[in-house]
Amino acid sequence: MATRQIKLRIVLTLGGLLALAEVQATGPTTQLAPQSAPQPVLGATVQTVSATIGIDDGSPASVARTIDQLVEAIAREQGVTPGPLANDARFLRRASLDLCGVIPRVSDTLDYAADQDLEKRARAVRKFVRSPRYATHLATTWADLLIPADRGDFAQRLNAVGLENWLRDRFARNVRYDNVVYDLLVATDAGQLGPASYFSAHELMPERLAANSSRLLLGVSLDCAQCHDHPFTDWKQTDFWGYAAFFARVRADNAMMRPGGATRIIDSDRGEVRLPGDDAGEPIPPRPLGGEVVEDSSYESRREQLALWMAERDNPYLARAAVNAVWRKMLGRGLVEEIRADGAHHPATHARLLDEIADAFVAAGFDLRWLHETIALTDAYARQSTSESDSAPAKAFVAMPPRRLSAEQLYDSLSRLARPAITEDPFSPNPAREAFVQRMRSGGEDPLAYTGSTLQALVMLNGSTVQATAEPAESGLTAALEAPYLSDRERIELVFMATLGRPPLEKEDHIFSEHLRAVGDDPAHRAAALSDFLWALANSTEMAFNH
Amino acid sequence: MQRPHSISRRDWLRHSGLGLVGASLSGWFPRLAQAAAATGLAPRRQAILLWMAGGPSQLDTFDMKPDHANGGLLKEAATNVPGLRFSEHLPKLAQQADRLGVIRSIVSKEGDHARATQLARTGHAPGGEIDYPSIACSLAGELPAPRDGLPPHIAIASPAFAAGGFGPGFLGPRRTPAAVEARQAASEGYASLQVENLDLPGGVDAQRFAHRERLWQTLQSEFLHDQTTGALASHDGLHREAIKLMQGSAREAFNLDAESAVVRDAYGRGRFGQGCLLARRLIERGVPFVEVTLGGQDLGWDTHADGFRQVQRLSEELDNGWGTLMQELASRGLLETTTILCIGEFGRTPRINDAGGRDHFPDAWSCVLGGGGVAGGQAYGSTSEDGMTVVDGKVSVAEVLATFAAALGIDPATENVAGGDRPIKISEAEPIAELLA
Repeated sequence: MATRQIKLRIVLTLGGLLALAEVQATGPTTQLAPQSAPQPVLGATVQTVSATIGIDDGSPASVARTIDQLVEAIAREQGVTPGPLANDARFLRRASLDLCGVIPRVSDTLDYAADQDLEKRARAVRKFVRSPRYATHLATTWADLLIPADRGDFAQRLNAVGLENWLRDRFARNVRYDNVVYDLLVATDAGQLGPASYFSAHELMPERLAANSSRLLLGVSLDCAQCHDHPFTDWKQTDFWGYAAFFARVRADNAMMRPGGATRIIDSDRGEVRLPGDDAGEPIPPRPLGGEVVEDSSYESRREQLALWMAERDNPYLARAAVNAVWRKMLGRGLVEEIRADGAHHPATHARLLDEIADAFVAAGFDLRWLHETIALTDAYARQSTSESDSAPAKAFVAMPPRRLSAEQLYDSLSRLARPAITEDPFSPNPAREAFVQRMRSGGEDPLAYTGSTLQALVMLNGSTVQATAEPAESGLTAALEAPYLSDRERIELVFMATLGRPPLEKEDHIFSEHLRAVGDDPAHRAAALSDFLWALANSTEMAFNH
Repeated sequence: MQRPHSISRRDWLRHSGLGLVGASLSGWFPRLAQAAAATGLAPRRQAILLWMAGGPSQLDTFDMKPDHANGGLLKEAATNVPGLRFSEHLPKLAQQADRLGVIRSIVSKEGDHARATQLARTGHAPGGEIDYPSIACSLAGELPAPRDGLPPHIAIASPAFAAGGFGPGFLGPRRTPAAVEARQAASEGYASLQVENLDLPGGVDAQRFAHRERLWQTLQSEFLHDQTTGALASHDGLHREAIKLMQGSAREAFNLDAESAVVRDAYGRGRFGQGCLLARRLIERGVPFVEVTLGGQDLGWDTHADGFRQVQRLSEELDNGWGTLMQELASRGLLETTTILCIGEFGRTPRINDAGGRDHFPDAWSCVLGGGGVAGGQAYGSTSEDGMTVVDGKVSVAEVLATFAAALGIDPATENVAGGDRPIKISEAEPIAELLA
């Protein structure tokens, strides 16, 4: 195994630019030295970090351990046995997709599998959350939620890009989450295109800003209460409009608009909301959820008053909603569906766990990087996947449900195969990526719901993105595969490792080898066969999901 | 359907299957359903939406004012229905006016193309938190699935810069229409129509695709084993559907070369004409919903200048495409089971502007329903002599869309569930009873 690993590396080194990125990614070249003994690389189970640390000192590893104790206790109460942990390759692919938005490089997969250190999982996760891709991926994820971009509208896409850039800068610097939210809500500066984009994407309408911000930032679905008292919860129509009143005085300063310039968001000293159909009625005064009416102040705008309330250390919603959202993104479903101020969340099964993690998140200084790292270090996150995403083990977080890759994750993963890695630049606008993402976007916010279409399947089967991934002329990987000293068996293994992060199963090996043999020695035919491999793998269900 | 008291409305919506709620309680629908059952007629028809991009001039097509200064240069002509008159440039449609129900009394508020388009195609003005689906996406999902692996909703020659109102909105990508791109021929030839990504990429022939498919099948069976449900199986299933669409008889539906030159010419050689011909082929093969756009790649019906010449040209294109489509559906016995709606985003100002054209006008405009389920041979509602206001039978866009649904045999009060478990009706309005057959 060790020998083969070196050989694969040499091949990649021959890939020129690709090699440079590989070496950078894996650190000093001394790491390339062969390990002393053959190791059971792939298929080994992930070492549980929790076994090695005994006290809860607020570090990601110790909080992860506490989380696992609670998760397992709840599972036992429900009569559910925790499933086994996923193997190394699966874990690394999962964490890389969730934290960096892209599949790992072959070299990272091999390194990780070969690493004997008990701390390797913690080290890999730490590296992921500190990579530039972490900030990019997180910004994409949040911008998607804050701005409904699937309306296909050009202006809306521009808004999303503006907000994404603004968020990425903050996530890269790991700005405290409460500060990010505060800045988003109160910003007026024309230079801060991000927040302006958020307000203009919702057309500066109090009800839209209220519905979106309460759902995403506070974890509360108030939307229904817009038109009538909420049928399933205690929220009244006056709760919604009291909250919406905080946005009633937001205005765009059109005097600041100029070609290429950003809209400036300002606060008027006038503007009220009233109940729908009651234009002549009393204005609804601003009132935070579950709180008292706030008097208008000459020092603070209504937005500032709302942002101050949200960012209070003991605000019952903000931290919990953030924890719940990150948990949902990484484990498929939230710990709870609805956040309640008094901790009696719905459903109640994992309510206490949510509160514990939220407290630790607040104690850690609203540190999003810490939060991602902590969740990634739990055993709950590292369990083997189950296709039964509605089963009791999946609901108890002791088996991982499969989640479809987002359009961005899929594009970035395919382009990691297609081109030399060093040209991957998520910062520069890429029309091909944009076109792919528009066609392949998922609907809705539920990570477990599969909402693909036949037309999306056609994009994968015949579209230019997969074609570019698979064609030898464009593909860095197929170029590497043609290196003369690899056996066909090794070529097949490499192409599986690069795409799915695992070697082929026996039957796969057999069918793929047979195909390569059948095309004979003609170099063009062999190149075509290798591109057929990449096409089939790129189109596989295993590739399309994080599992 | 009785609502059980023991579970919440939310649960009830979830458990009632795909988020659909059965019959509404409004009076006309049960009657319609009973009538359908009594005659043995399939209660649900196929649908064609002819989208008139840019906003057609009602005064120069279906609501002419020949005796008023606002009337303009085009002449009125009789139809096969006494008293019902269209523009003289719609002769084929005039001969089938008994199958057309003209609505002359739409009142809406939106005068901007993008906003009005979204309103006309969804029944909702833009700006709300809910991403409403186009009426086509809503209705296509209610109709029986097509044979041959064809998609249930095909949109031909849609506008190049389609914004809101064309997509599936909260219904999700599964309800996205299959887009057929139309390219105008360089010279006098036929416009070419193609489904995006339906063809194999260059360098991959059928034999090579068969190799690829074998490799792919191996991966699928090793990964999925015998799973038939869940997200993984759905992904696999959609890929298989797509391959079937690429290879099966479905593909033949898109081959317009199989039609004679006489037929192709009758429809008109342009994108709209050939699009209508494709619509007929798709309706024959059981596709439930087909959209064809006229004027989506250029200014279309947005005739601010030199209006009468433009409208004459567009009318001829409309008449050849739509008129021939109606004739051919009728001769195949398909017109009774196909409902057609022809509508744009608004009408044009009755007053003729200095450039000899007409501007945007949402205050009093027209659309036309045709075919099965429609009480033809009539004009519903009317406008004042100068065309400036609706004097009789004022209707909203939502009522037009509800009537289209009802003519298809679909209760417009049928609900889908948007995010946050909000039940949303296909159309909030009641259908116009007088227009239903």
